[in-house]
Amino acid sequence: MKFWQRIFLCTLIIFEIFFVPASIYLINSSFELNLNMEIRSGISEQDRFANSLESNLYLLKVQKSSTPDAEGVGKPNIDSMIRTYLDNLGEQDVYLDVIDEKNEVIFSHFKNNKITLTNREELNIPSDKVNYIIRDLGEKTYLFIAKNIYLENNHYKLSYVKDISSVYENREDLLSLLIKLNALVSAILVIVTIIMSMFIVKPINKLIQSTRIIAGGNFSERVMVKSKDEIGLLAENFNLMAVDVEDKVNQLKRSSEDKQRFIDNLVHELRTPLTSIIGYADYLRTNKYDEETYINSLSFIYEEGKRLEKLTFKLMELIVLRKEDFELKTGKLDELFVEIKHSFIPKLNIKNIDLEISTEHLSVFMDKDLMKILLANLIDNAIKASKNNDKILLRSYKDTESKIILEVKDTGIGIPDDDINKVFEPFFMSDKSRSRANGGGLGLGLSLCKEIANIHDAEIRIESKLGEGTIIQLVFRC
Amino acid sequence: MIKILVVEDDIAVANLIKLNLNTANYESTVVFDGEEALNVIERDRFDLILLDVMLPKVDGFTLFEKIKPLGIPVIFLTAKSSVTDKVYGLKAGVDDYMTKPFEGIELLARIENVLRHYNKKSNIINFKDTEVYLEEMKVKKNGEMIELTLKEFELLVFLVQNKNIVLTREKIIEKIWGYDYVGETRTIDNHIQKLRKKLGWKDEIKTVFKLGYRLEE
Repeated sequence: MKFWQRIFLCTLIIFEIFFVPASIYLINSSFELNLNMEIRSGISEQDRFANSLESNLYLLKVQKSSTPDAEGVGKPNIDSMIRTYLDNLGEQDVYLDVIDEKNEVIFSHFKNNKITLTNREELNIPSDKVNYIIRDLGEKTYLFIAKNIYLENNHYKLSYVKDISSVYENREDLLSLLIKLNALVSAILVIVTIIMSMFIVKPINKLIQSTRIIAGGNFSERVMVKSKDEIGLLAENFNLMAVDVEDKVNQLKRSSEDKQRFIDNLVHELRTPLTSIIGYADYLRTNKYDEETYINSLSFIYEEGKRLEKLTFKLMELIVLRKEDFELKTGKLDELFVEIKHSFIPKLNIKNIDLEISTEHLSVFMDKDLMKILLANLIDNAIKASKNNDKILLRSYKDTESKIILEVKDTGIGIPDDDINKVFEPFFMSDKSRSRANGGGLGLGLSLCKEIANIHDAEIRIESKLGEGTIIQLVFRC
Repeated sequence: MIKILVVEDDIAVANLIKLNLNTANYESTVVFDGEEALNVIERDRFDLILLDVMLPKVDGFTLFEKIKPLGIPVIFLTAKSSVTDKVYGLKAGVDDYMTKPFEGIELLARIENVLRHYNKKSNIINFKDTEVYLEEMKVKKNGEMIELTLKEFELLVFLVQNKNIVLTREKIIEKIWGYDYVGETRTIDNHIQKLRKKLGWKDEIKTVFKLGYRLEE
């Protein structure tokens, strides 16, 4: 059921419950009133006729007494007096009828006006009372009033009959008018509620449209309802929800894209060494070769095999980092630095690089093994980027916001601006051919560092100028 | 001599391709990135280019768009086996597409195909005193016609096209009888025997222990 239909039905029901019965009650009471008035006026009219008859009788008696042969007034005289007198009367819609005690009709308007009666129980009149009855004859309704009159000891019954159809018709007319009025009011009510609910529903419809679009997957859609009422509030909340959903969806998209990229890269990283291993092996078993080709091919097979092994271990590290819960303990950075430097001595000596350490005797919450992996990767990258006899600076200090910072600084070749944002992506290599030639980088080092930083709730910052060097900082949030 | 340019950033793979091309008597030039490839193409004329998609500096697809107007046949070599990449590559008008890891024989066969398309390979292969007409499917030895069955002819062509390379029994089955062929390797041995007899190649077709056969010049 639509909203406007509901409003309409409610108002219609209220209207019908109150208005219709009240109207019917009014019509009925005015009808009763009219009927009573008719009856009362009928009775007084009849009285008038009876009185006129009596005064006529008196005149008749005077007349008779002035004549010489006075013999009194007899019933026939009276009967003819009634006839002559009543004949001259008779109004519209009023019919008179007189019978004597033997029920002989003395005078009647009935015949001419096609009033035929079989049973006239109102004629059993108690002595000084008036009887009335309402009868439907054919199409019409009549009021019958019967009354005793005594003229010179002659007993007559005078019937006064009036056509009161109009009173009933009036009631019928009013009732049919009420039905018409009811229909009209209902029609007006429909129009009014439709218009009214249109105003109410319009913002709701807007909301519905927007929600449909959002439900269809377009999460950037927003509801445009500007009102201060409940609907405005609903729209506002809905928008907040949409924002939230959009964020979540985008997050999911990003993470799934990251995963996809990771997988694509991994596949590439796996296939390239496999291509070499399979290819060289196949070449050696199917071709005639000289000594040099033989040694070269086997060296490639060996190196690429080692590369795959390395990749496997690095991947294991990444997977472990993502899965495990690490327990962080307070540890001194000084010790860590010294240990790291010690393990890098052979590599540093090859290029004759000086690794300088400066610390402020700080301690941080850390997992020492993970921090070693992180530092090893950073220093490894720094050595690769450096030329012979360069210097690498490893230091820790507190910045102006008293955050602890761990920093590796080199004066090497630097990273191109385009690549800076990509260096933390798995398998990304700023200079692939060089890193391959430089002892086989995988492009996983910095993504490992990022994972480790996340575990320590620390942030990695990177700053680099091509040809001038790179600074990588680990900023602890404490 | 047919000249082939190899654009491949991985030294091991590039070297491997070069080895395979040398066996088939192609002259090859190897470059390691897209920029270098463009320079070399401007300076020199090539009959075919083998192109890796994931390259430093200029990637394979971009490079391909640039060299397309030259009308040089191109075969993509890539680890990207996703369908969209293949579709993109073939839509762009690449002649063929190979995914790593690939086998030397397959690479050579595809190069052969593409070159024939471009009419850079003749339809007649000469081997010693024998001429193989690929189009007419005829074989002449010293000018005389040799009658061969269809399978024998196909096997002969396979051997001649890959002379000096061992053809393993699996590869022969795959190439001549198709993947789904469930037969004995004896069928292959029988066909080899027939070829040796009909062409008088007793010594030319060598049996390589445990592997298969090699046609030696």
